[in-house]
Amino acid sequence: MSNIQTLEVPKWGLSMQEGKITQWTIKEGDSFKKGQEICVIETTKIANSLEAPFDGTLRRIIGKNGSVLEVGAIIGVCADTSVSDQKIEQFIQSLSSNKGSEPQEQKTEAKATEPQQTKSPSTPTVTTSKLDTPTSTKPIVNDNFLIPSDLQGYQENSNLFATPHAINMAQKHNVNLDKIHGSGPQQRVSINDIQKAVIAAGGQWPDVKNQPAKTPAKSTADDSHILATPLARRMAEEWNINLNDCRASGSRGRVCKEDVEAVYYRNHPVSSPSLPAATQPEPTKLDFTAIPMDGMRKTIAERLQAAKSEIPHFYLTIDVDVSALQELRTDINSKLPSVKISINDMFLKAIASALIAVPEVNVQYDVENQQILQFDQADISVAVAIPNGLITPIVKAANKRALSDISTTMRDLATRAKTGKLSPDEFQGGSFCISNLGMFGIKQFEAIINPPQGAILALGTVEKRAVVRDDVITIRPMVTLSMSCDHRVIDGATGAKFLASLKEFVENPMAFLA
Amino acid sequence: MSKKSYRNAIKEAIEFEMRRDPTVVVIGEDVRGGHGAKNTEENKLEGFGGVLGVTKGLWTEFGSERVIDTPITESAIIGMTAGAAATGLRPIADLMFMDFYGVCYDMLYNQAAKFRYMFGGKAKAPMVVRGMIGAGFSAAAQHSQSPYHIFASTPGLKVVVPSSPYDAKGLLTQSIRDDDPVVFCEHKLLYDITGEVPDDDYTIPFGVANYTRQGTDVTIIALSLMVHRANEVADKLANEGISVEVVDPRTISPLDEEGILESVASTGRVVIVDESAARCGFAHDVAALIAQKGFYSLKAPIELVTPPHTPVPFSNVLEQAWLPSAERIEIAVRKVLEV
Repeated sequence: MSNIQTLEVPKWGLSMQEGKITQWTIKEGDSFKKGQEICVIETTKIANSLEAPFDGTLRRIIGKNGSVLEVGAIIGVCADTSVSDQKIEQFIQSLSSNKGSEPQEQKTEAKATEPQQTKSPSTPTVTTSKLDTPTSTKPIVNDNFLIPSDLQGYQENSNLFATPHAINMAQKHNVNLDKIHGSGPQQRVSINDIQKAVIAAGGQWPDVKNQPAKTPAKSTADDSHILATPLARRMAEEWNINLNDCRASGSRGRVCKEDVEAVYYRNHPVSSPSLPAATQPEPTKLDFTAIPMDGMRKTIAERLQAAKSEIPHFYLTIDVDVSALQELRTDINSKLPSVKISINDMFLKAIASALIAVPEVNVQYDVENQQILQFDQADISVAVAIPNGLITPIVKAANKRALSDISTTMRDLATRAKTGKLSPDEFQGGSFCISNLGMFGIKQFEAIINPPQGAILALGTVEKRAVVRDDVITIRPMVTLSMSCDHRVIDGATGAKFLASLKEFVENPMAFLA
Repeated sequence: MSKKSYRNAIKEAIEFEMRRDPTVVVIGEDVRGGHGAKNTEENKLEGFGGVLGVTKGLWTEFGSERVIDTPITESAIIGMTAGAAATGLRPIADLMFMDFYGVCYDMLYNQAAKFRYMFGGKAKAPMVVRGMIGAGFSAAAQHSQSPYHIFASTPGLKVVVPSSPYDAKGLLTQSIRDDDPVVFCEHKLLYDITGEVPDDDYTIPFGVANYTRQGTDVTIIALSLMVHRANEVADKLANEGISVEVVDPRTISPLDEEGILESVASTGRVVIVDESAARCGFAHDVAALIAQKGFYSLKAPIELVTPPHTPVPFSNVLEQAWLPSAERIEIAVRKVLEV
């Protein structure tokens, strides 16, 4: 009698379909405590640590580093050390044979029929299975080939119609061809058919046919007759490259220096982009580092590319006098030691009030149903820079919150954003967006709208400027605000009305406190 | 099972099908007798049976209703065949030389091949067009070509190019029973080869390649006469320890992509031997297939062995040089093996 538990890909947010296991932080055999971070999973939106849902010992990693698995897929098998390896193998096999028995079922159903009770609907789910009776044979694992037990058993005298290579493979990996459905002419079984059946039954069959060759072929033939420039020939000799392996892109069909270099780079892909020393010509050194794009970078690139090219942006700019705002801030912060309000927090409150005053700007564009969604409360997304990108946590119902509440909420969201601890509902949605680059001294800029929102407001730095008041030039602390609007849902006059209202709230902060 | 010639295997397939199915008829020049034999209903002489004697004896058994001699008019032969097929018969046309398809191309590629598609499946053309292909007979440029690649490029036509007596009988039986127009290409130099052929009727499905040699180092893909040359090379190189796999697709439309790609995946080196053309031929089609779907299996560039881009020479010496020879195949194999 033994308790075996499984770890599965959690569902973080509505849109999450699959997760990529980027890094296991524990090894097979390691024990862990409930709540301990055991692996990092990356979705298209976030990378987050999976916290262990129970105390246990990891016995088998099923979702290897780098593998992309759908939500609910089993990534690891856990059991305490008293459970034998054999039991674990049997358990893993029972998982695959469960799947194999109903290959026609939909994925979700197959999941549901898998082991018994789900302890809690929250993520990640835990399934417990009790094994009393040992099941039949072990699955065969051999060079990444894993044949489920019910497909095993090659039969020599089978009269089945199969391609010669399919028969060879079946014999090599002990596959019973009678159990494979052939898709070829007259139900002929091919290697592809075996692969499909094995994978459908939960086994493994690597896709060898379409793997790029790891090492390029190296010719050993005599290359003295190959036409090459003298320099190319000397370089090839030095680097032990056969001229047969080089393209001949030089003049008069000769192998040239670049062709030899290309082969060198092909043979030394990762180590270093620089060529070995002691060559006559100084080889050109690459003066950049290639940084692979992670999931977040790709999402940012994709979404902003789409936003900028699809949305007809127009821009409105206004200068606001923040002297009253600054006075009020100093006043509050000095009189209430427990609160520490920033100018940004006060802007948030002013914007929220203006959004309620001019609700035509507090909108999302529902492209699919061709309608404008106008919101009752101001859910303001705030762009926060994080190590390799940005994220927009939302201050919800900012119009209903007190300044101190906005301040603490904002600080909490920003802190968690920077450590990647936001839950999806904290950064998905929002009725309006702000981006503040004032802390870098930026005077003014135009931001790209974050769809489906209708507008985004870009806040510049607070700076003292000479302004005219009652025909007298005076010095006032000023901020330039630029709003980018989606003209499909917000017109120029509407946007202008909003900015005028915002200016009113900023310059008379009592209005939003009242 | 007994040893039979390619010629007799073809004859047996026609005979068996004519006995089995009264709608099967034979249409062609001199198919009743030939060589000047005066065959009439009153004076039944067993003539030669076509230029190659393939239809010998059919007329005496089945009579003038089902073994129909035609004038020397290819367009009439194929036009009649297509019409007969569309109206309920299963005709087998004997075009003699495939080179003559030019005269009757419209009947074949623009009519018969399109019936089923254009009439929404209400009409079909269950017909077989037999004909000789291939050089090596000193028959000169107009009687030595292998134009199967041209038929294969027409959707609606099935193209069969058998290399052995066993394949010829099984594939011809399948062709006669098939509901689509089938072009059946017989190589001149193969009629007298012999091989084991079952005495009963049997069919070989279309689109199933035959591996005449199994090996691990290099794949040769070849059709018809070239299969025999490839086998010869495979047997020779086996003595040197080079293991050659020979794949005979047998039908080029439909083509057994899987059978070809599986072999390529296992060896990674490919030589394609093709008598059809130096350009836009069967070899080029298969090379494109492999480059597209089997590229990552390749360890060396694909090598093609085809005739030069010239008409087939009449001179025997030149003709032998024109045909892909075992020597040229061997050189190509060594080239892809880099030995």
